[in-house]
Amino acid sequence: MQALKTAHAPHIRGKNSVQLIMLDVLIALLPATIAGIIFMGYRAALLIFVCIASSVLSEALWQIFSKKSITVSDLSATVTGLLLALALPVTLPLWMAAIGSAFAIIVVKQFFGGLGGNFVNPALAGRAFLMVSWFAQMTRWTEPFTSLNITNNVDVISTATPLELLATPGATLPSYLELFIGNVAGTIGEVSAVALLLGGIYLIARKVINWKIPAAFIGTVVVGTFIFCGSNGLFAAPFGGLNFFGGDWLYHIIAGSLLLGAFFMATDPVTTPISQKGQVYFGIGCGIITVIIRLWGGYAEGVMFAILLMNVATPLIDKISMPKRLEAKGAKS
Amino acid sequence: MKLLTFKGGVRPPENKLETCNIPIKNIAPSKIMTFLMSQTGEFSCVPCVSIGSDVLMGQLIGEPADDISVPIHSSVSGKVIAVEERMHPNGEMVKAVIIEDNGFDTPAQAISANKDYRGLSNDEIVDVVRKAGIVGMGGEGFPTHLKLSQPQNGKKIDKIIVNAAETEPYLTCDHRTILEKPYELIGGLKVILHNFGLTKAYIAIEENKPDAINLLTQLAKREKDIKINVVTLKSKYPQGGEAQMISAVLKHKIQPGKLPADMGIAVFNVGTCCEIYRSLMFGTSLLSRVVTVAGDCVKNPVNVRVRIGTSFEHIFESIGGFSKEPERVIMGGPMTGITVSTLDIPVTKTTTGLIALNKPKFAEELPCISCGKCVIACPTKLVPAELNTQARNENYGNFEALHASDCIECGTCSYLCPSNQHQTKHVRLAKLAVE
Repeated sequence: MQALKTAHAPHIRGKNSVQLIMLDVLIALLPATIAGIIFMGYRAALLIFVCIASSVLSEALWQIFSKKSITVSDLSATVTGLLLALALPVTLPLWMAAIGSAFAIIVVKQFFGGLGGNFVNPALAGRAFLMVSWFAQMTRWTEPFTSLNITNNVDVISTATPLELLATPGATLPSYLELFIGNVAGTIGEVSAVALLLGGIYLIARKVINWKIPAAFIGTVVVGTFIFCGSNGLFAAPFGGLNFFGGDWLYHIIAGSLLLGAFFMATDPVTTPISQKGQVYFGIGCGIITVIIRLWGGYAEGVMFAILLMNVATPLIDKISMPKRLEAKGAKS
Repeated sequence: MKLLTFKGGVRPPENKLETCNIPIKNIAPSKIMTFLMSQTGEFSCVPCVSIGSDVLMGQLIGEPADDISVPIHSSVSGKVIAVEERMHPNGEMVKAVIIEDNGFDTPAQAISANKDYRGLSNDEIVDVVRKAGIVGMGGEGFPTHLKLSQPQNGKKIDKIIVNAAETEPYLTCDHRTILEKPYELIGGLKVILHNFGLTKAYIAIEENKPDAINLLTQLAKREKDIKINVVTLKSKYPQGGEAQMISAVLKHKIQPGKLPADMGIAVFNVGTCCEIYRSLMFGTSLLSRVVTVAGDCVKNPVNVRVRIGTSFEHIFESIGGFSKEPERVIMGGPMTGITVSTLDIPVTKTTTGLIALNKPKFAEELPCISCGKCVIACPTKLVPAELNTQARNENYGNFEALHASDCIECGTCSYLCPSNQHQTKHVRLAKLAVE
């Protein structure tokens, strides 16, 4: 008889793993990825490939360089690469996308200790980095089904995203149906509301994410835009005594990156509060900042900065939202 | 019907089917029996026999060392061959009386000659139960006579729950006991009710035991003088935890640092009820118990009735041994049980199961990704991820501030952690370091 091993209970473990969670996220992003490639063309696929390859390679090279074990098999770098690609305009030069991904992985994630250590969402921080570095290229939008070449797209006729149109008085807006399906200008992954909803429902059904963050986030945007956005879906002058309680909240949900952000980025476990109560606070905070930026800020889109700002606030939220214990709550005696 | 439950928890694979339909098998005692003088943690005894003395089955061999511990009896008749230190399942060396079985099972005098408990007062019942050496048989091992006494603070016990959840995977000893000895269970419950002067009680069972629920519901209907409420609980771990049980059945929360008794609640295990009944009706002391022997290394998994003091090795041999070499042998269930380093360890009053597992495949440990799954699942509403961090950093001040002492070490957080962190282990070690 061999020696028996002694160990601490429990002696059985569930099937959860980081790899499975990341795999589920990748599966959930599949509809949005496919929709993006259909509407934006083959160059979207190329951009996605470059981002993922750059993310995974950066992670592996960094870990070789710093003599750590290589952990690309946990798929978290793949998710970061894909999420970043989905938040980019399809015309972006490939080398910029590669640099953005490398920044996301090395500076945002590995500098802070790798998996579990980063304090902001790497994909979003990568996008913010690209945004401040190459603003013109990051905001050059094309109509769906525009034919693009691989390297030089400066001659392509640029257009505006639905949210930018919304901010322009007198512009013709795409219909709800077009927004729902994704036949509009925008980043690769944000255009198709239906594809993002499918992915979001999958993640909630698989219990990878808690429904409370997206619900709080989207709910707050709905309330905020309904109250303040003005009657025709146009941006109301702030506190101008104009039409309150008539905003086109539906437009604000399905246009822009709200669904992508709410289901896939504001739910990143590492950079969001750990308790359910904290996650609701987080979602509401994201919603408020998004509404403020969209209605009164310089950008037409506010989701990215909303999530990044709330990421930074996460330790504070954690502090005030720790759950009360079973015993202490509502005790009768 | 609405299933009762608590908030949180996990649903590990039950693995109960291989033993729950097979009758309990009686196992003859081994030739050499070992009686640990410390059966459960802090409660211990002093040997009152010496080498060479003849003992009878049921004879007192260990006197309680204090006012609250319970005595230990020989489960066989024979001769004391040694009084020396032996290994407890938890790995410590404790004083033990070793008896060579002569095979005659010559009984000692009954501890109580009274056949009708209804004539007995609370004090008399408590006395019989203590003399019988009965402790909580669900694994906790808390002396039962203390639970049968009214609390010191003047609060009266007015709610009785029989804990038949049997929430740990693999274990079916309570399930089989209900099916095979339902009258002992209900008899024991009647004694408890008489003891407290009550007429109403709950028996709480997880829904994965429909046959037991049916049987007890039928039997409960026949009772005229008392009302037994058989309630069905959701099959979820750790439904059998005392606080979780009370939360599910009575919707009461227990305040930190308080016992259920402070709220007038007493919870009894199935096996404990049967032993209470037997001690009062037949005057027998606690000499044997039902143990579930299972796991992927056991050739013929089955529930066995074994005498206290039988070695684990003898039990495994008696039921046909191992199908493959086990890597871990667990006393108790796989979620909270303790591993033993050798099989030369005797059954104690709290051995609910012997689970022999082959190499479990655990993934590599990754950093916490603060997914919050442990926070949602923690049945005590703690923050296991944070406790884990503070425990590993030996930040014991913060650790205690997070109510670490309320942790019931159920293993839920470690079970479901996607990063395969071992929160339970680190919290347990830190709690020991703090003490």
